Amino acid sequence: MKKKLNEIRCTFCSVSQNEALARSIVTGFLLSLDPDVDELADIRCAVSEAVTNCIVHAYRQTSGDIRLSMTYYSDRTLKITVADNGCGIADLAKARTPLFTTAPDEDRCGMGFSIMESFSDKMTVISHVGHGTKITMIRRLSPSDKFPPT
Amino acid sequence: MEKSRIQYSDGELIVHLYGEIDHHSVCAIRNGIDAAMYEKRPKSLVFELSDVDFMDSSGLGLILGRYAKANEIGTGIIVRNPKLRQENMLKMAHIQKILTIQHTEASQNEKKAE
Ligand SMILES: Nc1ncnc2c1ncn2[C@@H]1O[C@H](COP(=O)(O)OP(=O)(O)O)[C@@H](O)[C@H]1O
Ligand SMILES: [Mg+2]
Repeated sequence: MKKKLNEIRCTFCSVSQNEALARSIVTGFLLSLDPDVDELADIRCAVSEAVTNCIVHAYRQTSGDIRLSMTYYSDRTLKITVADNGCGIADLAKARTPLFTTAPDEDRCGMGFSIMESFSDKMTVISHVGHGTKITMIRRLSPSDKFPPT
Repeated sequence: MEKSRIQYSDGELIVHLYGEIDHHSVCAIRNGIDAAMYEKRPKSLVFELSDVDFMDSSGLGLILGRYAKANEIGTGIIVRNPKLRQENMLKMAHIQKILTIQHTEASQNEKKAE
């Protein structure tokens, strides 16, 4: 049976400086797990995408809270959630299509969901228009000598 | 912190990007690039990525977002010396048709020296 080994939950404002902060939190949380360099880079990028979407899309013209949580289990799986109380997504299938964006004039390129999907083993999105969006990403880290499987 | 340096030589407008390129840093860089591009009307707009440590789709958006304007004034876009991660991300967005990815000798030698 897999056991929960560690968890962090934090809430921060939807200002763009916090994109870098979110990546630092990821690095800080994962460092003690001795992640592979590429895996860490993947996860930092996926979280950066999710947090940027909250700032750029969910709280467009407004501001609000972004909730980031990371949970680490004994089988080296990592569960990450990024949630907002913003505008929500009306057509999820469309939003997840590569290169689809609702903000082309702001140099968005519509690759955020594709990147999150390719950098996680599984990604789920729950969204309600007018209430917000929650992204869940699961990624299993490769084994490390420092952390033999339990 | 400085995230970009823009320099013009031999028909190339070179945008050298540094450090972490995300939505926050892109917002501060974009206007400077467009202004320089309209002023110089270069043959090529070059994004030098050898010193980029992190880039997400906002960096991709910065590069792709220049395409329409560059194309209008006859400027081609070159992405120079991206690291493997960044090159893979560029390819994910199927950009090969509209811009050139280049690896210069200098950066290859540097890699060998490392
Ligand atoms: N948290 C969110 N809240 C509201 N809309 C979102 C959110 N995340 C994504 N979207 C919608 O999904 C679209 C695609 O997102 P993404 O793949 O990250 O591309 P981009 O951010 O470049 O537009 C966005 O243009 C936006 O309309
Ligand atoms: Mg996005």
